[in-house]
Amino acid sequence: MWGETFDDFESEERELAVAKQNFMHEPANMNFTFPSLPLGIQPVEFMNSHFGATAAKNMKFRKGTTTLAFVYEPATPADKGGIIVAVDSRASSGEYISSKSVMKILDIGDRMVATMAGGAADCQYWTRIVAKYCTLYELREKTPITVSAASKYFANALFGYRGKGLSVGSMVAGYDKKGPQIFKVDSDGDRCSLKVCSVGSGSLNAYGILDNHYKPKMTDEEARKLGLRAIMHATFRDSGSGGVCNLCHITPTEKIRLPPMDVSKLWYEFADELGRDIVYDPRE
Amino acid sequence: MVSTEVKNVAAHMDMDRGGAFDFSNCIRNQAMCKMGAKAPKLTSTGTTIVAVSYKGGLVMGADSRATAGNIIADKHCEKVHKLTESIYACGAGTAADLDQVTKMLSGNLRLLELNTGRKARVITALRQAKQHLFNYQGYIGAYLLIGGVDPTGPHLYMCSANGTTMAFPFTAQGSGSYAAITILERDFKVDMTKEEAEKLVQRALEAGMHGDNASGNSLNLVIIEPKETVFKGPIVPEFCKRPEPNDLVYKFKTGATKVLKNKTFKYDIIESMDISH
Amino acid sequence: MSNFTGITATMNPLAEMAQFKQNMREVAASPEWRTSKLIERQRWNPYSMEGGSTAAISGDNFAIVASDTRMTQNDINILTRDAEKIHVLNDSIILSTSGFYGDVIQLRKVLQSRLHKYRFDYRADMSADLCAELLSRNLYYRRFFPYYTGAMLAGIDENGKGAVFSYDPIGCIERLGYSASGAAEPMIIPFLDCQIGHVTVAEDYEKPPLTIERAISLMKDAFRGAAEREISTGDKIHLVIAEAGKPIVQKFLPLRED
Repeated sequence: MWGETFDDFESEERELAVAKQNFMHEPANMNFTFPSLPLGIQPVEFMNSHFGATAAKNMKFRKGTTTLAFVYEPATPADKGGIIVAVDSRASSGEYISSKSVMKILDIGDRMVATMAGGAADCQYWTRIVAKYCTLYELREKTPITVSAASKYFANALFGYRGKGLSVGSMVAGYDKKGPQIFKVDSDGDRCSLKVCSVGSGSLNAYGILDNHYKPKMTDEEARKLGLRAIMHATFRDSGSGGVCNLCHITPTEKIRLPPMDVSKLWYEFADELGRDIVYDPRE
Repeated sequence: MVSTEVKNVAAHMDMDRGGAFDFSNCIRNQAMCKMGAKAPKLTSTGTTIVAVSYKGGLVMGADSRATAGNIIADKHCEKVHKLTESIYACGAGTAADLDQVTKMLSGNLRLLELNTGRKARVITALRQAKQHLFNYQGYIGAYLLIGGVDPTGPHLYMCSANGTTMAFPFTAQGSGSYAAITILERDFKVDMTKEEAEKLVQRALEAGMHGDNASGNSLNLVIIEPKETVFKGPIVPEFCKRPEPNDLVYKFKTGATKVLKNKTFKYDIIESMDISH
Repeated sequence: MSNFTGITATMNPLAEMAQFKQNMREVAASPEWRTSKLIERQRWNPYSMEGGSTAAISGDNFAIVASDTRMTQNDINILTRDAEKIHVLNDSIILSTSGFYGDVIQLRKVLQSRLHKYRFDYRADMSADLCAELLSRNLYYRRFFPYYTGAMLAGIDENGKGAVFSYDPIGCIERLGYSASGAAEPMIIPFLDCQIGHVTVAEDYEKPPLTIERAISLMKDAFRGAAEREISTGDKIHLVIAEAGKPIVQKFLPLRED
């Protein structure tokens, strides 16, 4: 009875557009707000007095880290190049090690990761929020989000809570259409693009190794070893870092997660390599 | 410039009492705490101590747990201190302070006895303790029950860290005193027999050890009478025993520890001695 | 000086020294014994700490949760000897918590109502994995006014494996083989590290497999050991055993009461 008209076709388009509007639109600002303290109580001061240095052991928030990431180019055609992300796995509450097996490389997408330094819960939560944004972006725009855009969303989200006591130092690393990228994002709202980067209490030690041995062109084997070595040395000298070394290699085609390596075993391996005697003898 | 300023203020506060404790680090330590340092924990005897007088004598008792924070530092700590043959002191508070104060008291009382040729009186011990403690304004954390028998009869006194003293027919002190005093208040009678008094003290102590986290493990009693002093303990009440043994045996065979490296040192034996006994 | 802990060299030495001198002046001007200690107490404090400890072990097809049943006020006074610190939320989820009991009850209520709604919406019980994430989020939602709890969630996951999730007060989540929380956590964890994690023994040393019987025995011994040396742990062990395909079993065992 009714032939298919141009109008119908158009309305279908419109319906699709409406559906898009309703279901796949830009993630709206949640009407959720964090419950806050009674008027006049300063959040940062309140948190410090109940969950800070004077708090009971298991009431302190988990923190303390060494994380690092660097970009390199393949030295030979057999190598893949890309980004190495290496982290330790310790979470400490004050002087107590509350966990020695934390996974500090969190997935954001198929080709992107965020590292976790500072408050563990803050990182886990906000990385989830960013991951959700990225997934929705990809569905909406039909193209993977760039590392730059994801990290900017991350930084903006954190900036919204500036001064409220969040503690995040994250590196968003991944491969997109512009190539390998690392962005350092922190809870002050800072965001910068870097080639070699380390965050956390052991970062100075890690930088020491990284700056000494980093070359823009490396073989895959060399690059992975550099990541391990930097983390191992950082955990050796920093009491806030330790456990195992988790390593993630993001190549132009895939994301490879390597099995965790015990840092104390690594230390013996490296000592072996240098021919150093592991037994302490004061007379020598 | 700055340091002299600090020194002047410090001198003005007259903390140096000369010849006694050294307070020179007080200000520094507080400044360090302000910088974020944590002061070391003291072992304190969160305690139940109980004493009851009866017809012609006195029973005192204490539990035996010493705690550092929420950890039991000593399960068999001796809280009943002997001052003289017939004067004893039970202490609650900082363990080190109690040891020192009671040691000082017993020394002074012994000297007094030797000088006068008579037995020391309980009131003398009390006066010495309170004058010493008052001098330090509560900074010596010793809360004492001093009791004993002298020619004027049985006496029981409480002396708090800042020098307050009181006399009682019966009393309890320490963190478990609330539980202990309920038993005493209900069942204390004037002129009890020795057996009754001993039972009462033991029950009061057990109430304290049961109802208070910082008291427990075992209890010690001392029964002081003009002719003899009997010490009983350690008595372990039923609820202080482990109800069940461990399920598993935890023994490590040789080889449990990884050997990284072996090294042998050779020594020439020049002289040896027998250490088998 | 060596007994003081917590000093970290974060500032540069000169600034640190200047700060220290400033503190010296301030302290000397109004030393602790001349200021009212009440000022410290007047801070608004909505929390308290009810002591006690909980621990959880997961194995191939089981999860065991245990806690003591003592509830304490101010580390010293015993409020009750049969407090409920382990909450069985459904046939496969067990919540065990230490910390402020008011928050514990509130948290349990939140989870229970969410589980109830889930059952209403989807006609199935929520799995332990989902509930673990839910708990993490709910803890984080109170980021600026946290629940004062050290929570643990245990149960049987979607694949029929035992699972233990451990949290910090604001919802940092981690799935572990075993975990503990509460006053005796620093005593129980090293014991489990040694007996289950085998981290202290050489690689080639014999390591007994973690059967459900062994896990239960270890759990009992952990609490018996903790009760020996930790003052706010005692009275009874509350043991909750979840085994895949079987109903949850609860047991109470005696502990020392002093």
